[in-house]
Amino acid sequence: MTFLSISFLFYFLPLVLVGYFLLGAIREQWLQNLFLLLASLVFLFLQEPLYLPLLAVLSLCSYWLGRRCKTALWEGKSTGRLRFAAYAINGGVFLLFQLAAMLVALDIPVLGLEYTLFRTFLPAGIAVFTLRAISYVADIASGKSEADHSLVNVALYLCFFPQMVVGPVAPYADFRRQLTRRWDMQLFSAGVCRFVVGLGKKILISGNLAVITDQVFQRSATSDSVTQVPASLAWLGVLAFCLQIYYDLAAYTDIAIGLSNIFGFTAAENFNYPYIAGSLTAFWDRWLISIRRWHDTYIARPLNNRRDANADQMIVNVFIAFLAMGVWQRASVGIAIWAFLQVACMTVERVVTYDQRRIPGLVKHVYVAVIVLLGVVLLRYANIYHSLLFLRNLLGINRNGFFSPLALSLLKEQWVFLAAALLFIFPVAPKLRRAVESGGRTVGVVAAWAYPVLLGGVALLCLFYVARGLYVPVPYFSF
Amino acid sequence: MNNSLHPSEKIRKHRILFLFTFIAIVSYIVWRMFYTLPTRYGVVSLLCGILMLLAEMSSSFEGVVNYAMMSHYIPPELPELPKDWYPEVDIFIATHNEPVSLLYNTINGCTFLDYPDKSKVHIHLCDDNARPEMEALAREMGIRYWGLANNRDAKGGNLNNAMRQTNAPICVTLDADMIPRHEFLMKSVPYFFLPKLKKDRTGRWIPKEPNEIDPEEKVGFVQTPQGFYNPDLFQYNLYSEGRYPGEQDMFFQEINVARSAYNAAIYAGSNTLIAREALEDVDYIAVDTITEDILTGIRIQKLGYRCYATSEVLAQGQSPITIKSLIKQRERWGRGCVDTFRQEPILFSKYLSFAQKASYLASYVFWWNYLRRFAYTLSPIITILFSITVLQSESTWVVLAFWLPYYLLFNRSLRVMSGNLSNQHWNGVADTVLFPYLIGPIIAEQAGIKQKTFVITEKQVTANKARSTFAFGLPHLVFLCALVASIVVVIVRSVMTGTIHSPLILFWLVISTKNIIFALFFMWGRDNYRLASRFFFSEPITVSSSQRVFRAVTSDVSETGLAFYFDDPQFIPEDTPLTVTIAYRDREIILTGKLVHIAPSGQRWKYSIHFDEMQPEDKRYYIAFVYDRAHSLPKAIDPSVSLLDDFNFRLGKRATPVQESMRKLPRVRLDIPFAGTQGDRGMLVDFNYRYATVQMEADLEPGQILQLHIAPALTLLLERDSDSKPCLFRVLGSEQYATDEAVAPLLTGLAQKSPREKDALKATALLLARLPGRGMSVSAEKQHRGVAR
Repeated sequence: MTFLSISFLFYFLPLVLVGYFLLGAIREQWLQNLFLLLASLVFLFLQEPLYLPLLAVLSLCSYWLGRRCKTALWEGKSTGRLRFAAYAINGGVFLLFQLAAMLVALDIPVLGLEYTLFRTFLPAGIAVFTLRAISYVADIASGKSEADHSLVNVALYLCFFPQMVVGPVAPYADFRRQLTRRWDMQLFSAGVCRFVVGLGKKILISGNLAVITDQVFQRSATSDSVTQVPASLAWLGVLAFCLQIYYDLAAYTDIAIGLSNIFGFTAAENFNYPYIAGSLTAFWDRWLISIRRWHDTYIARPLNNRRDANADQMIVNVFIAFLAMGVWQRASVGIAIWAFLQVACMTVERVVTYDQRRIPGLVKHVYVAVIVLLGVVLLRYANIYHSLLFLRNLLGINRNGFFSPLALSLLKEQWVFLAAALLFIFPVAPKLRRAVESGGRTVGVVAAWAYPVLLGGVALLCLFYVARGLYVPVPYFSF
Repeated sequence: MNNSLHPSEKIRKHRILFLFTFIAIVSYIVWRMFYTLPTRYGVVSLLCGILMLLAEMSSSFEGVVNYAMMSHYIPPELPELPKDWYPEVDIFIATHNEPVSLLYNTINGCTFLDYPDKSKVHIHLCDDNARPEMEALAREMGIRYWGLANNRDAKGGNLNNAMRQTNAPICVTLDADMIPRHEFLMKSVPYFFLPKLKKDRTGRWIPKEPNEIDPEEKVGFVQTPQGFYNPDLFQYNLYSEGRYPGEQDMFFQEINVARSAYNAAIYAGSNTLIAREALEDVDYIAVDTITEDILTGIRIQKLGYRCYATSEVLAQGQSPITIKSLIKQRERWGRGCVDTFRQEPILFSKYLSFAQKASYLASYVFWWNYLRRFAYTLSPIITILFSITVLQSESTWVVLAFWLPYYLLFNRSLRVMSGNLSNQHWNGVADTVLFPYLIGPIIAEQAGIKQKTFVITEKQVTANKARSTFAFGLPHLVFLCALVASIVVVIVRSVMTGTIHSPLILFWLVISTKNIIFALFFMWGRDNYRLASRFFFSEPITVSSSQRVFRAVTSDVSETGLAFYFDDPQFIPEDTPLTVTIAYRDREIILTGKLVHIAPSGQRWKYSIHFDEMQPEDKRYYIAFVYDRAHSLPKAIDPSVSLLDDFNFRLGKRATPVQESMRKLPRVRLDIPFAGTQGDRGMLVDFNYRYATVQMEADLEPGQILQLHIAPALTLLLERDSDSKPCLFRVLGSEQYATDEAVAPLLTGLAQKSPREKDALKATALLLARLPGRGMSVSAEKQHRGVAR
């Protein structure tokens, strides 16, 4: 069951909402929290029943480690080993699955196993779960937050279903504050709108872009003399893919924030119009913000502090953080190159004081675009061979020619979605909002009517797509 | 690193590290020998493969020997000697063509040496050009002069001439530029008595009983390190004089000291004490070679004398300051070492132990280092560009399994055992800089082709401009092009074949490119403006003008002037003759000079003074005061030093040209607002006793006078200066501040106030048309009293 399935949208979500608000009527917050935890467990169970016990054990483990940290702090003992245990257990389990997934993708058998067990990829939500479990213990160990005595609260933090796909990942202290919350109509309505926007991004934009990218990338990987990918088609594919990744992740973030708001929780933002960034450093301040921040806080910084790192060691530590962030998405050789590319560029930017130099805006954006584009090509395939093959197609050095009738027909079919996708990488919505706010009363009235109507339309369209049998593409990783 | 550890604890850690390094090196070399020679790719490949293997074997051998010595040796403690045991000492200063000023400093340093009975110290100036000015200098300094005309035996002949005609039991050899510190003899002579002394249970040194003394055990020579008080070229050209220790420190303070473990310390020609008995046994300094020192040392060791190298720098000189002289110096050393090895039967000598032979072989192999660097740089290039296989292996993973532990442990050992005096990066850069110029001479010398003339390292400091030396970088430029081309080829091949093509070769290409880029940075050079080396240290001094006396502490000191700190921005009118008094040893040195520059430095003010001609006796003491201390360059690589900063530093320093500031007054930033009732609000921006910058809403006419009452003791009369910027005001009656001791601290106090405190100051402004007190009426007097905004 995913957020976009009929079972979720038409059965699970409505039932959970009804139950949640009925419990709200008797004004027992802890019951509501318990209900949310049960709902989350059901959600995870429906995704993959096999892994639920594993997550339960890991949750217990984190809870116990948190308590032990608290005791150790109380007794003035070192918490280093407990913290290490949290990293090792959670990171280890995650890595195991991720490596298994890599071997499956590369069709490499180990010990002659057939890995029927792992054919379903990773346990649902384990990526976010891992980050949260580590941060929960690490924060307690460093005295940044308190160990919770309620197992329900900790488990809810670790398994909160709206945020299980791409986060946002916030520290436990932030989450705990919201465990006692008040009904807020404004937050609820904002949540509904955000949820619909998320659905729209995922189903209308990302879903349609996937039609282009899947064709192009599959073709390139299996290309022979008949199904070659000419340069123009490759460029169309990679452009669509850059947009698709963004809309996909942004959509899941919107859905997560929207659902959280509906249940009265707030959540941090994950994206801030990354494609308008003029440098890679700026790009990484705008892309998957909470995830990037997590890797900075819980990987790079502790490594820097372990011994006073000099600039070289700091760069290596940032690389390790990026590698971890890459592996968080997928384990492959391409990921290592991708991480190296990102850190190398960011280092060069710092050495040449890129920010302070007068470089034409166009050049800056082209530079960021090229790096992002190289990055997504590396991320797309499990096998580095296919990534490099695609690169050759892009450069037109694969005896693949330039012109492609398929590119033209894809463009003709999907140009509306492509144009919309291109438009909304710019901060259009905030500009419109400002225009409405500064416009006259009439503008305000029109907007007040038009916005719900527009969203209603989007919601209907999405439901129509879902009901019709949706094509849910997996861009490059599956959570 | 680990300096805080007890020596035995340090040794234990070093031994463990050495053990792992040794295992890694041996397994790597064995694997390389038997599994990786390119036998399937033709003769050229095989030849290149063998050469590469030889290069790696030689560097591994050198590493093993050096690490073995460094990880095992605990140097002996300096014994305490009864005062009457200190023997007579002859100090020989060798000069060939150096200027008088250089020799003056060296001789001067010798005259200040501590010794229980100073009449036992005899200083000899050995001049093999028989120059009259040198004879005059010797007479002036009260030392003995040995002029030698038509010297055919170079430095050895020059020294022998004096040595044969003197008789003190200990001879000290000093190069012309090596200035000893006052404790030079006291911290080196006692080592000669190690065979006759022992420690009792309480840790006191006592003489051995006659039956405990081994008559065969005698000390041959004690080599103290050669330190350098000016940044060496690597430090200077790479803008690293504040970041990396001297390039020679590693040899003198670690390697040579550790060589004492096997009684294989190298006699390096200067800063050395030699027992006359040993000298007589080897018929004095060897003369049939260009590096007479090494050969003499080996001959002494062959006779069974115990020789020590110590680690504390007790005498310092100048390192070469031009690329040409650096190359010539290294060429001489390299040729000398190779020549010594060719001439003297070392490997088959029955008088040397196996460990001594290994140590000397390692020092010989060291000079093939440059050929190795060439091989390391070239082999990935030929592999990629000409498809010549240098190393064959089944898979990258196997190479990684053998090479990575070897590489990591080798470098870790270098860093740890060198006491952080060097690291792989700094070594790599130094080798890369020099290799194109030293391969030829080393090979030629090995083949028996001699250098025609004997070249002395030029140590005369002259101001020179950079850029003129870039031609030395041409070979490096060629390598850079080839390296970049190879990297591009690797990347293109990776894309074309869809596999990561030779990742290890790529790694080596990148490392070599980094080294070559730094070598080019080095060759690019750096303008040299400073003629005298500076020492940074704080000593209290007194500075006085005709009107006032100030107490200050030194910031940095050189032969020609010094800089000192004041806590407050004191006013010393320009061109005021100043007298500086420095207490040093038994004398108060009195020097006169003028201020040349004033600048703020943190919370203090730094004043620089240039001295006039000094009185002879004051000069003697002052020169000793300047040079009688440790150099101010880094003593170890700080852990915070990083490659990224090296790059950043280089690029940053290149971009900012040196700006010479001529400011001779302390300009104090005040930013004190004032206001009147009739619109003449303003701000006193800064003040330097002669001029003030005042910003007013309405500009004043030239000649108009502003009276600013800022604090009870500070009322300024400012006249709007004509024909200059409207904000510039001349300070009237500034001379009075030269005697007013309250003003400078007051200014400091005002400058340090926060903006809010400054706003709360009640500054009063009074506009005057004329200057009061010159018989003029204060006619158009408008008085504005107001509280500042």
